[in-house]
Amino acid sequence: MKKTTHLFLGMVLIASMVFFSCKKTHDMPPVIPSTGTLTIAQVRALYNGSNIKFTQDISLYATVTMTDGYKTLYLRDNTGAIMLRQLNAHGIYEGDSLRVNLNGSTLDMSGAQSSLQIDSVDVSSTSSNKIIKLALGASHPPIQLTIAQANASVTNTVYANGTTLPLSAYDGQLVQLNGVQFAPTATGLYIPLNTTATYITTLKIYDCGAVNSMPFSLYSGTSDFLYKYIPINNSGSIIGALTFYNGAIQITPRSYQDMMLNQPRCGVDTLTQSFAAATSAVTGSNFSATFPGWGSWTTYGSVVWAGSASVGSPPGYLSATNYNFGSPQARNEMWLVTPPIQNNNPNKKISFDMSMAFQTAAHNQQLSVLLSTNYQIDSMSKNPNLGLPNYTTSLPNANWVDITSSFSLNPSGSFVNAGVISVSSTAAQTALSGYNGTYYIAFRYRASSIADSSQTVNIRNVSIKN
Amino acid sequence: MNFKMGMQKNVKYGVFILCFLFCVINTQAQTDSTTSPASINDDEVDSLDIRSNTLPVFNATGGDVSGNVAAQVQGVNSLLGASRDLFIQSNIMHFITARFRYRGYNTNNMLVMMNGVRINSLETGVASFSAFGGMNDVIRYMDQKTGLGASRFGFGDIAGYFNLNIFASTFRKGLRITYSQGNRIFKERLTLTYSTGLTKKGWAFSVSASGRYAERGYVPGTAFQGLGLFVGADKKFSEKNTLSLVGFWAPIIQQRQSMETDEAYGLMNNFTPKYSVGQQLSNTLFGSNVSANNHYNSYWGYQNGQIRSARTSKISTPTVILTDLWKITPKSNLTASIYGSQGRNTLTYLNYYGVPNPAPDYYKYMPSYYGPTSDNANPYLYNALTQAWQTGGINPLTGLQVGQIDWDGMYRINQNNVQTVANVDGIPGKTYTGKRAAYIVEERRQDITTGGFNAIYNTELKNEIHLTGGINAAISNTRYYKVVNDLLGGDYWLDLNQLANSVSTGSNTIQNNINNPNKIIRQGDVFGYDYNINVNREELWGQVEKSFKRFDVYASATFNHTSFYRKGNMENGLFPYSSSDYGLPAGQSTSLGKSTTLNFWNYGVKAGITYKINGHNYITLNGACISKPPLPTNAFISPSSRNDVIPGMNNEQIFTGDITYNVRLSWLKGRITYYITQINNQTWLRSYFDDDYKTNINYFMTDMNQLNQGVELGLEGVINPKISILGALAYGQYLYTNRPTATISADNTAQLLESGRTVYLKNYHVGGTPELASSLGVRYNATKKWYIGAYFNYFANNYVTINPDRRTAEAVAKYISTDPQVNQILNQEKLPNAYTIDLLMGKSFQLKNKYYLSFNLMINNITNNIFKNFGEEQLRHNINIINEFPNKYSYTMGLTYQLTTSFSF
Repeated sequence: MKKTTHLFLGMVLIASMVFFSCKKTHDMPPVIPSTGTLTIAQVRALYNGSNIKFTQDISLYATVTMTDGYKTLYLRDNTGAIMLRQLNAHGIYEGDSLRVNLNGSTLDMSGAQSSLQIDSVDVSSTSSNKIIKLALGASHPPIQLTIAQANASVTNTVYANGTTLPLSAYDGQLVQLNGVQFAPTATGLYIPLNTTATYITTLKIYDCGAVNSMPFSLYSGTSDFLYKYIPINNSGSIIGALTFYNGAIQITPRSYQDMMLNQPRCGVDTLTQSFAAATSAVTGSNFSATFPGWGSWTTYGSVVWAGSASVGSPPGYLSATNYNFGSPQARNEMWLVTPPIQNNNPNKKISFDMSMAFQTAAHNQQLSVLLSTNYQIDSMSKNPNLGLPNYTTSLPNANWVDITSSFSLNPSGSFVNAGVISVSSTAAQTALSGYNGTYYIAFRYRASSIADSSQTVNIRNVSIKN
Repeated sequence: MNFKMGMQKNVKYGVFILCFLFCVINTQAQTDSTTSPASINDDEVDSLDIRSNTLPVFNATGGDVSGNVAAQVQGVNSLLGASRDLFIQSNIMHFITARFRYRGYNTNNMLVMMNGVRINSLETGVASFSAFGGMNDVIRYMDQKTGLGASRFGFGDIAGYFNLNIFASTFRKGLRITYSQGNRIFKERLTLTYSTGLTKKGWAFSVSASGRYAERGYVPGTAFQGLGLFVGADKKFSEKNTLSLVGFWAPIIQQRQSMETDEAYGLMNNFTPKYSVGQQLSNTLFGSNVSANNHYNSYWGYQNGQIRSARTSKISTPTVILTDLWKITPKSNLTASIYGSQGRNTLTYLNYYGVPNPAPDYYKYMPSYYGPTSDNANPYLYNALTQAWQTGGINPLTGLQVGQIDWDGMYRINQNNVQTVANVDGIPGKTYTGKRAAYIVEERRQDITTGGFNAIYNTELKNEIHLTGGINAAISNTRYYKVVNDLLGGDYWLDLNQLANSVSTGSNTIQNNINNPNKIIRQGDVFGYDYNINVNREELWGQVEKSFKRFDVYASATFNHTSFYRKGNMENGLFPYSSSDYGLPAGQSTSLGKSTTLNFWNYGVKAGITYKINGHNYITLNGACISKPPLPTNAFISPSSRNDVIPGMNNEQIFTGDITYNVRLSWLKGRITYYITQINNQTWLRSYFDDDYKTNINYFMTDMNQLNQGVELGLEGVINPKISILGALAYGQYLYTNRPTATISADNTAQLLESGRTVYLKNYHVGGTPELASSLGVRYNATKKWYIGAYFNYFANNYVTINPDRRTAEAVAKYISTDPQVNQILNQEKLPNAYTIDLLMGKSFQLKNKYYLSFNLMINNITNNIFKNFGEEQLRHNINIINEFPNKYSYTMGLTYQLTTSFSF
């Protein structure tokens, strides 16, 4: 019995040892070992002015920061960013971590003097698909940026074959531009799907001082901006991708929700405008383009503040006059409106130089200096004569406080400074007290339709300082 | 006293060994790493697949799962329960819950005989146990051996053999009535068996009738109806000669259960209504009308408030065996039989033309297909489908209900689909206008006719030598075709091949039968395909046994020949040629007529030796080398469309051996076995529907090898006369051992899609069964004829069956070694380990020394532990979207019971 037990136990133990120790690893088909890898910076550095076709398996690891929902991706790694164009539309989304096999794709420019891109990447549902998703939902916060910083980052490289490649550290990056707003002239629909709609097809965004601007890129088809109105009465941030087009860096918003213009229009802290560029070529129609942020409007008639100097011989100045506009003179009311000024200092100093000519005893003062805290640009109407919005309903509807008396208006024909006046000492003090928003300063020239209301008023060197 | 102390010591040893082995092995099982899930396939072609992959048991498990590879698990409970092998007894009772397969073998490796007649199907190699379902009373008596060993009934097979003795004269005289009630596959069963025993006039008669019924099985949509009829008559002419005639018929109607993905189970879980605890228990025991938890079954739907299944099988194969037992001399006898069987097996499916797929679980109807990170991201569809699945709403893509089959919706569509067919029956100008059925229920039929003869001669020679020899021949002819079962409110179905549309929309190409084009099909008409498979098999075998004082030895050999061919009865437009056409180029595919006849010559040799250490201890060693022909079901590339055979088929080669130690002591009985089996040159064929190719794809390999090895342990330790401890352990490892080559074809073209593709299959698990199954129980036998036993069962190392094409260079071609997708594609998922606890109890009474009454209650899975017991990778996979076709699974039943009351006299 003991022998039986020992024999049995022995067999059990032997069987256990022999069998339990047998672990086998399953077979594996040949898998491509890790291929050569390039970073985005290294890919960019390959460009030499001519398109480069990748003909070997090279891996690029990057995260998708933005897509247009169709065939364009924006990729980022820790060395930079770049745009990628797919051959086919396919399911790649923001936050996807990818390994892109560059074999078969081309490194080229998206247009003349436009962004570098990885072009023609196969993302079809076949085995030739070159995209491998490694993970989903990767964090991809936008880079915080201002328009000025973005513009300042632009350089150009001219290659031996004459190709010019604009460069920026932010090209292809997902950024958040802060403190931006549209020009008061921006109105209408976003996406132009046909040429008969009444919309503006080119847009710029500006910083609060309207000193720096950037083109606002629109894309059709997959954009959710379709027929959305531009919130021109607001400022805020826009998240989108920066790319180059025709040498200029531009922003393409990620979505309508990423246009977070939910603050009142922002004002400048300080302002200095000499109007030296106000030659006679500057008229009402190109005024805002020449002096971003400034407005030259009419609330009656058709004459506006305009440049005065001869073309080619600045410095110029702005001039408002009713002279030689009909007999008797037509009635005109012209407004020169500053960009919005942030009321963050009750003792901001307003200063400007002015001169007058052709004033009469009956009409020796046709210039008024006004201040408004509730002036809003009416984006819905248009001035068919000038192709500009018609602000007749908004300018006069705003509450304007007349602060002319705080200044010494020079009756002579030579420019004299009208004073460096603290806003708190003007009649607008009450309106500004406790107010944290923006206000506008307007220089209104009011001309009547009777004779001798033909005074000419000239303004230059407008400044608002702390 | 010393003897008692010695006994106690030995008992302790035995218990220690049992527990040690049990714990160590189960712990080992837990250290295996879990691999990541991965994905695949959909809409596999579920032919009337009679292949069974488990030991046949008509038992409590989720056996009737209708998957394509897993197919049905059918069998006879008492068949194996009557075995005296402790390991087999535990297997049957407790392992079937986990879909355990004996030694990992497919059941075409088990020889099953009735009265010496081989009843394994000539086409599938599997014995259809449903042919005698419900006849538990008459199949109690058997000769059985598992694994290798000598057999006086046939050469046997690597898994062993069963020979059921159903001679009327061997049944106990008397009447036996058995009533069972349970909540598994059937709710109620009633069996009446009466046997006369051998009368003075040398006659013996036996009749048995049983009925089984379940309006709804454990799983919703699995209704069951079965009859079992047996008639046997023996006439003993003399002491030397007895003639026996038996006939049996066991028709079954059963609704099937589907296998589903985790996503489908999860969505349907959210649809589960909240029940009270009492209602939950009632639902657990008696089922409920609501599809809930992990037994979601997509094969059924409500019609007029009643459950109707689209996947209903009917089996009816009456069989007759005439046997003559001739005792030639006191030491020699001859048993000769002729037999025949003719019947029909059917399985219904939904079919559709020109409308969306009506299968509720079609992969494009799952919310994940439109998920936010999917290539087909569509927030509207994702949200709409999610809500529809969770509330039983409408699929926005089809207009039909999600989750279950929308019968009313299909009727509505058919009834509004009035169309005119031109050139009906190929007659120009002949038209027909009516409601053209866009959806139908088709019935795929197999009309089976088999017959043969069998003769076995046994003789006892001098010097304790025993000789056995046998000869048998069989023929099988099966007609495969399909008919319209239900037009679902339509007037007709047009017999066109929608798989041919992707090749050509030419009027001839799309015809299933170019000799009767544009045929208007009514209910009951044949359409689609029609062909026969004819198989012949002949065998000559012999065995010699000799006993020595310390050794018993045996050796046996078999020679057999198998031939088969396909005969097409329809000429279809994709392969519009007949084998009788003249001048066809070599290799031209034909759909009509006879294919080449394939011939396979096979052999088998086996031998064994038993060493008798003493009267209580034996060691047995067996070895065998066997060749087998490929199965006819795996021999044709696409038998429904053409005669093409799979190129490169060879005989299977099997090398197997085992060594066993047996012990039989008063306090310990049992055995431990180590076995090893190498199976080479297997032919593997699977088909599935690919909606990118818009046709059925056939994937086959012809040189697949696998190695099955393991340890088996069955022990019964007697603590005292009333208490015994029973243990069983099967710890195996079933691995593929080579890199076969794959060929891929499509149903709608003769051109191969791929050939010679290397499949890196080595060391992948065959899967489909737990490689570790163990049971440890305690049984108390009271003096007043009652008993109770409790068993703890543990299962581990259950791997999903794999899709071989995911283990090819092509499947990982676009990835590099560091991509996470590589492991997702290549790893083989292992199902979670699991346990169950079973209770058995019973009581018997003897009344007036004449009547016997017994009650037996079996409660399986008393903790209601529902776990995945089978998983398969889908055959379709997307190399870009790894999870597009995820694995499909089936779950065990929860708590089930069967209460059996028997009365006999």
